[in-house]
Amino acid sequence: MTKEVVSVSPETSLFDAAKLLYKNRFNGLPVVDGIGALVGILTEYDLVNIDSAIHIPTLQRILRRLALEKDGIEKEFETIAALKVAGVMNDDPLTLKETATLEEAVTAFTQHHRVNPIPVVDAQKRLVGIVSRSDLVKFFIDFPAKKPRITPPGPRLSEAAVGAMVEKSVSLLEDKILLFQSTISTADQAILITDIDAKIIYANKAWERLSGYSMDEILGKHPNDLWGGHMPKEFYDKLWQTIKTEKKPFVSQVKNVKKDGTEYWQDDYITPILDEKGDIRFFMSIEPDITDKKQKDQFREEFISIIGHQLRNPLKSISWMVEWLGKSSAISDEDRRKIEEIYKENKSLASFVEDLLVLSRVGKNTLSKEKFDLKVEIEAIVGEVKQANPRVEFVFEAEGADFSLTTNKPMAMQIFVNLIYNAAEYSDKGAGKVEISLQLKNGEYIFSSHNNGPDIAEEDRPKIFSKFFRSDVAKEMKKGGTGLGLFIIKSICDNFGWQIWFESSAGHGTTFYVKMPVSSQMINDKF
Amino acid sequence: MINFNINMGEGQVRRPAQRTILIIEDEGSSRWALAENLRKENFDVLEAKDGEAGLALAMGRRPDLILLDLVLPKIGGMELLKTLRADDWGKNVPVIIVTGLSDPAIISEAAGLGVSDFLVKNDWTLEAIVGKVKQKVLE
Repeated sequence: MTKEVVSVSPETSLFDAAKLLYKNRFNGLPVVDGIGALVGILTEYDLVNIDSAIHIPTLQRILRRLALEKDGIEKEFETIAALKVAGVMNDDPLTLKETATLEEAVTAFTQHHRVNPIPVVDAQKRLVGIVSRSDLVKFFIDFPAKKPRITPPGPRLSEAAVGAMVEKSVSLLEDKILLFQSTISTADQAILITDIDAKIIYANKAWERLSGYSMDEILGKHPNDLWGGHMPKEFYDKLWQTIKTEKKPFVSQVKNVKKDGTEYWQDDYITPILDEKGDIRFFMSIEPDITDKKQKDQFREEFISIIGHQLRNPLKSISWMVEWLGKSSAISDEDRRKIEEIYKENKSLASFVEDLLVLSRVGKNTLSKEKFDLKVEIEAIVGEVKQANPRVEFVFEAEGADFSLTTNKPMAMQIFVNLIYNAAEYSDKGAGKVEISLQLKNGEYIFSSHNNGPDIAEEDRPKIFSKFFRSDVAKEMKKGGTGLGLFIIKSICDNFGWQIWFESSAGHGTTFYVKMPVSSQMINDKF
Repeated sequence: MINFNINMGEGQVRRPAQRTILIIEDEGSSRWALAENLRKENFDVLEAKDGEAGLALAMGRRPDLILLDLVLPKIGGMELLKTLRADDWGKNVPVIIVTGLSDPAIISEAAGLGVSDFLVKNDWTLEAIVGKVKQKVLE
């Protein structure tokens, strides 16, 4: 309870009392006489009660009359000003003795719904404090934290009172769960919750859509027996080490298999959910839903496509005109250098527009598919890049005979063309070396592109696939890059359900890998 | 301010030469650049700024090679190509498509109609395009 109580006397004007209530945001004021004995209580309720015929209803009446006649106001005002607390207060208020237990306080509040607050009096009926509903709520909220202070002699609750509190808490909790459930079940991301043994206890609709399984089919089962279990053992060791031992979220790309057998790579975010003691209660796995992302991106893609096509022709015209102008014999060397600069700038702008256009096509489900041999295509790209970078040494190795793939070829080629050009352009300036390899391993093609250039700085590594990111090294080595190359590659890989990653270390250069499940190329037909 | 006060009329022939090239391109500056650079190489150059005029010039003058844009007013480039290929003379004339479009679907459709080359404008310099024309015509 509150011991420093603001109280009023029966003779206090109702106006002042109302101001006190309002100013302090009290629900009620105890009324005491000259010797401090409680004689009543004035609550907000009393102020709006029609029977007591004052304040709010009266005030409204005055205001209404104010608009009609001027004379009546003064009279009304006098009436109001003359009102005393005594005329309105409840002179037989419910009180609690200072010796009352917490249980009695709880009971008083549960039995008298409208009562709040309750004055606390001593044996002589003198006011010693006031206790409000919010005091009780505060007590129960702080309960665990303040345990040591209140337990030994502290108030004891009867079973009934505890029962009432528990019931109240449970119903609050139920509300929260309901809210949580409705949010989670309609979320765009696929969400899966398992118990500590990884047995599935919940999957939302997006998860059902993504995996092709219904919740009923998977309840109580282990993800590895459904879509999972397609990653190497070390992957799962690391996963469990992170989420179970370190109790930290695990973020990675993971290969799953849909109910219909389609393999796909997905970004996965798995986090342990801990109780207040820090013990793991559940695991939650969240995978972004591509379907939704696609819809949101559609407008943007179309917009980029329109802008891109509109920019393309004028840029080309400028390029040709500048090229032509540069060949003129009537210009000075200095002017020719300026023209060359214009030409270069224009060309980099044109490649930027090309990149944007490629990007706008990623994820379009109208993309046609064809079967082709990856080995033949990569050989051709290596030849082309070699020609453009005559000082770089190239090695291409393919283990295995058949590397046939069925997917959208131009998109897929974007990945390899970009990676191989990058490898060459960022290889060692003096003795550049690029090694490209292709292999078939566990039903997956693995493409790798290694160079002996400078390593990617530690702080740049997480950002390397981001839009418009260019490392200082990249800016230094290749001018006119758009900062979209790797972003495009990543977007296409995500869209195809392919995995892309890289390894980079000082003195050992950088290797980019692309892993393509042989049976995966149709993944996006499902979306 | 550059003065583009040059006659860019259709079917303009500047000087007599052995080989005739028809440029069908709606964009004035691109057409001008291509035409002037080909004339420097002693080609007879015919110019058309839409598909209809282009088709008429092709049938009437029977050029040795056609540089064709795909996005054209009146008759589109792909339709023009189909009409051309249905003609006895037109089915064999070398056509190089010079376009801003790099859509793979269009490229494969054009390939099916027998084009000599498919040049995506932004990837090709004027010099390279002129070189390509010389190579095709003289081979």
